[in-house]
Amino acid sequence: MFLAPWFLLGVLGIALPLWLHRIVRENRTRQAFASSMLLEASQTQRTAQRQLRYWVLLALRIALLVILALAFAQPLLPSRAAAELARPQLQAIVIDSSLSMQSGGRWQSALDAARTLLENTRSPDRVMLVSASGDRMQILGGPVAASDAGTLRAALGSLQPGAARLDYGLLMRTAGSWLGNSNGASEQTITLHLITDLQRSGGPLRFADLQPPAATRLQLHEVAGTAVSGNAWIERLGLSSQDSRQVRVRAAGNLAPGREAVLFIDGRERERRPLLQAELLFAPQRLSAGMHRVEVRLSPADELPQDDARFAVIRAGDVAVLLLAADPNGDDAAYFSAAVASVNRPRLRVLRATPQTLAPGAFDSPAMIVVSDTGLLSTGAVTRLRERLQAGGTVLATLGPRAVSRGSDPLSGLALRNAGSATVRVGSVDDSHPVLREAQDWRAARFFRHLLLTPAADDKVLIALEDGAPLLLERRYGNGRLLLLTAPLDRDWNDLAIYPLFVRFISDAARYLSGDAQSPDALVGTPFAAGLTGTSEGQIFDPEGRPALSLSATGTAARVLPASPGFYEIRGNEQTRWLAVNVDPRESDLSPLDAAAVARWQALRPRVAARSNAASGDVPAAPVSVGRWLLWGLAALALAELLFANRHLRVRREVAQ
Amino acid sequence: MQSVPPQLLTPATLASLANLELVARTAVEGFLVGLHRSPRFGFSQEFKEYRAYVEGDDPRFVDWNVFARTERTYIRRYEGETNTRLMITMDASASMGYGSHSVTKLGYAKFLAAALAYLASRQHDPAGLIVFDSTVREFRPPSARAGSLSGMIHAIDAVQAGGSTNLTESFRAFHEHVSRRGLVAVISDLYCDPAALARAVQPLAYHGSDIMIFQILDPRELKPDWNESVILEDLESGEALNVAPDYFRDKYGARLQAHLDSLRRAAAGVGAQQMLMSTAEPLDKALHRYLSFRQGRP
Repeated sequence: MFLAPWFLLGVLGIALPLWLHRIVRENRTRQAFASSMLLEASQTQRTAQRQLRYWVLLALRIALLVILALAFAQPLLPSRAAAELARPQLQAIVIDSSLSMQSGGRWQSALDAARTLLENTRSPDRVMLVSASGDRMQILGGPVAASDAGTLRAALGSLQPGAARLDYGLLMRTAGSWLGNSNGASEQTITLHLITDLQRSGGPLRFADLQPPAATRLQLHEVAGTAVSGNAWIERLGLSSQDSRQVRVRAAGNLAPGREAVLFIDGRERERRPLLQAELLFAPQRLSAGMHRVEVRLSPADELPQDDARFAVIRAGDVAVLLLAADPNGDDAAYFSAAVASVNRPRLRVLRATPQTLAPGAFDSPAMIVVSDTGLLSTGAVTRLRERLQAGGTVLATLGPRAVSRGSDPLSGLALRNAGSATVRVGSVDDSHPVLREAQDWRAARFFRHLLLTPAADDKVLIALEDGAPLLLERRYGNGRLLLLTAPLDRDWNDLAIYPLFVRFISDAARYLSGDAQSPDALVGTPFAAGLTGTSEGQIFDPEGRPALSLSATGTAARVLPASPGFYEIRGNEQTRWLAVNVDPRESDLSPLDAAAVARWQALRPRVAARSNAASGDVPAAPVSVGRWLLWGLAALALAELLFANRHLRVRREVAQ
Repeated sequence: MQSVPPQLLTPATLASLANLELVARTAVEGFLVGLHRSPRFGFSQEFKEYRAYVEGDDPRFVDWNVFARTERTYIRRYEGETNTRLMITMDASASMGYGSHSVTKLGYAKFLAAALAYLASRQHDPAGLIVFDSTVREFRPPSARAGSLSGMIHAIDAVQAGGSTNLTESFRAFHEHVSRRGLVAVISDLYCDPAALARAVQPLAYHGSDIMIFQILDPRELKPDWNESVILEDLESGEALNVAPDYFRDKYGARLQAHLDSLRRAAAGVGAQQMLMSTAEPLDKALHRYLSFRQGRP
């Protein structure tokens, strides 16, 4: 294992001493001789020896060059390898079963590598088999003794690659838990064999996330091969921004001629177009109002057909926004309605309601819910709204006198108190947020009264007043989002509603929270909120029509882990929704990690255990550089070479008599 | 007579003696002592006659057994004393000045020439000297007169290396000085064409002289020990060559041996004997071969 293996080419430099040692320099010493009658002149060419000279010196010089090349290549040796080998180890064989492993012969190579590892496991060691894909690492068997590896071989025979993405950072971060050595307190050392195609897109955002867990040595088994990938995939699918009746796709990868994109809407083929460039725009389609399942598939299929199709659920027509206020005809309701109704794309339809007129399933269908003064919410409404948020819904809420009277915001749970009657203005605005990117002149608005609250750790303050009190904060609930405006739309409290920026802010917030008129997208291997709450009458069906939730889980489980791409049907009490699940486009890029990154990964030391390894005798398995020893060897060889070269130079010329 | 340790006859030891005559005497006397103790070699000069002792004769040759029986002094005379004229021809070209240790090839040649001259003088044989490189540089006719040895050794001692080697031209020149038959000792490193050597020596052989060729080479010429590439500069021509060690290791030995074999065949072809000597070898070996040669060729 070398950090810079290209420097090994320096070994070719041994040709230089080999060539030099075949040449005998001309001896310029002149000596008298009786007669040249019996002599024969030797030409320079003839003085070249047929045999190498000065074997010891030559060997020293070759060794010098070889060690020099090795020193530059920076070889790494496993630390205390002998000590580790003497102890029973846990051999954790992790097979990358992500989508990219279905390409070419990678999967078969991975299975062969796993079988070889199982066969080579030594008797005192134990072994376990793990399938890594998506957010879940599935332990297929073990840890068992090496002699009982037959069960693992059987599990290996039935293992199939999935369609999810594998994030190496997630794999290494969670390795401590599923290896049973999360705090490094285990007495055994672990060798984690990762059999993977070392996909570049599998790398984490932070390189440090690749650090192996404590007392774990990472050993990579690369199975990608050297074949050039011809894979192509659809990277994005959506409606055109110019014409909402047109479907736009963007393809990526190897766009070889002869392929075409086929558009399906609600299961029926609508159009075929040759795939001549990455961006492709289909003809305008006639879509009825409501949700539509849109699928674009590349034809014919390539080496990785699972990523040739992309799915989306598109909402055609108006998008409903539920406005919940104490008085549907009050000023605040009017302000909200006017601002929301100004949004053209998508067109938003405002449904006004009061807590008293709220229907049981009213929270399920709207793309966004606006609550004017959360203090008016009943406990049941708060619970349902929170569930809605957990299921991926979005809420824009304001605080008001009713919330103040309750002492806390019932929706976010934050404690409230009045800040007095001093007029303040906006102090800071996070204009990088999509909601605030366009709106300006926030400092024009005056706040005669405002509330003080302390955001939670995960809350993000988007607007703060001059005294630091948050005016607008965002909180995430899984896939759902809550935008909380801490001031009511009341002229007694502020004059925000009379400024044009308010309309812009509300329209941007509506577009942001309604998801740009599209349903949330989900990825294979990533859990999504099912949105089934409260009852046991809901069910989710995968693209093949099989129930995705077990009977015991339908009433309580809010999250589903999709295993295959396609449309998931979510049947609730009152309506049926569709969810588009796609493969992660990053998994379609089959280019591998570069060798330097792999070497740096393998050179990472394991995380420090909870208790001292030195005290417990555990040996970190990080590779150790031998560069220092090579330098000592270089110095010794250089000295020896000097001595021998000097000795040979001394006898190079004959001494005249 | 005091025996002389063998190590005193090594070239390095002899080189430490400043006087060349002393070198010659030390070498020859030591060699002769060694001969008397050797079970394999004897003084091979053949006895010919007794002659009445006259003043000036060396008393060492008086036969004291005859004196005891007859009370008259006679000295023994040998075959070689009567008709052997030794002509020492010494190569003094620049290549002879090469040496990888304390004794150059020319220095060793001087030792050898002086020893041969001393030995001849000891046997009352006339000895002469010719020094040559590309031409005849010094000529001393053979003489057995008293005092001629000192002059000859002085002449040998004064020889300096220089010039190039031209055997054909040199031998043609001193052929004119060798009018009587005898023994011709050629001392050279023989960096020449073997055919040229044969052509140079052949007239002397036809003339009836016995020819003994002492080829003197340095140990480093016989077995180079360079482990690295080296530029070698020819002492005579100045030519510089970059020579690789693998050439010395793989090819030089065979090439030298082929050259020596060619020289030996060329010498044998004209009835001469060629003897290879290293400047690291003790001098008595040269004298051994010389006497062996004399034994085989009366």
